[in-house]
Amino acid sequence: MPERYIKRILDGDKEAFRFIIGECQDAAYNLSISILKDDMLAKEAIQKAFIRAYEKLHTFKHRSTFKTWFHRIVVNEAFQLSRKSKNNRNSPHNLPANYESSKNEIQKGIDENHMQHYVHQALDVMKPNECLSLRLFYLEEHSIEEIIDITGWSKSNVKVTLHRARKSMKTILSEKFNMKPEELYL
Amino acid sequence: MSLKNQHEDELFRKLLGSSRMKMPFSGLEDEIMAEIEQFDDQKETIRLSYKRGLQFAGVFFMIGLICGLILTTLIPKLEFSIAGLDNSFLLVFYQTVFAITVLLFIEKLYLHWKRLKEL
Repeated sequence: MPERYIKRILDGDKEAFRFIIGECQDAAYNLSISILKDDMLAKEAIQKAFIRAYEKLHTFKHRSTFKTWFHRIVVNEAFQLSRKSKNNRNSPHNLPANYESSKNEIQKGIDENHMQHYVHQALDVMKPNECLSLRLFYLEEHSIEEIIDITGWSKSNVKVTLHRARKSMKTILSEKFNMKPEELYL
Repeated sequence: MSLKNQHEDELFRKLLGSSRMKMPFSGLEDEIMAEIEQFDDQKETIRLSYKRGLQFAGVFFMIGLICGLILTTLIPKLEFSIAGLDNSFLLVFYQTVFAITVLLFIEKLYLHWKRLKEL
């Protein structure tokens, strides 16, 4: 848990921040890639988020978990970068031709890698907000209240975005890959 | 929550769980630590220069305060008038301006000192 390193960092042990980076970088990457859809931009957002977290660590009052607090910073940095770069390369439901899979291929059997591949492709073409809400809720297992805290959206907005996200993913998986979500997890 | 929703939630949890990605940039930790080092150095430089500025401000404030107090004691001893106003009226006017200026400067110094503590 990063909480145990916070006091050490505030006491001047800078190196303890390495542990926080190690523990939080994968989640930060998953969240920022949801919004930015680009590896290099995601990296930039993560770097900025970690520096900001280090700079503002003394303001962390333990009102929420460190994970929620840090994810709010990551999401803010990613949205800021997204606005700056106007990165609208991937419009939703607009898969490149090479993402198309033939039905025959799918029917050969879906192993773990296939499943990951299809879910990644689906997430990649989803709207940033929808992708982010799915990852926050199902992957990082944040509650609705925590998602409100992280994103700054209203409760109804979070619920609607989550609903739309589930619907979008089902649509993408069934339309583009000709499969239902259940089929991916057999 | 209905059984269907529970099933759907479970399914999405499994799907998203399988989509967890690892950070693809191996040297990120070192890059961030180097940036933090740079950030701390810059912060220290700014803090030192701010501290020096504040020390100067403090010294000049004390000089001004001493000069002001000397003038306050001198004005009643001098016999003069400006534009028909005698020195007792000028003393009250001067002391009011002096008190307001001192209070404003104390507030400014306090705010800068607080900011220095935060740096």
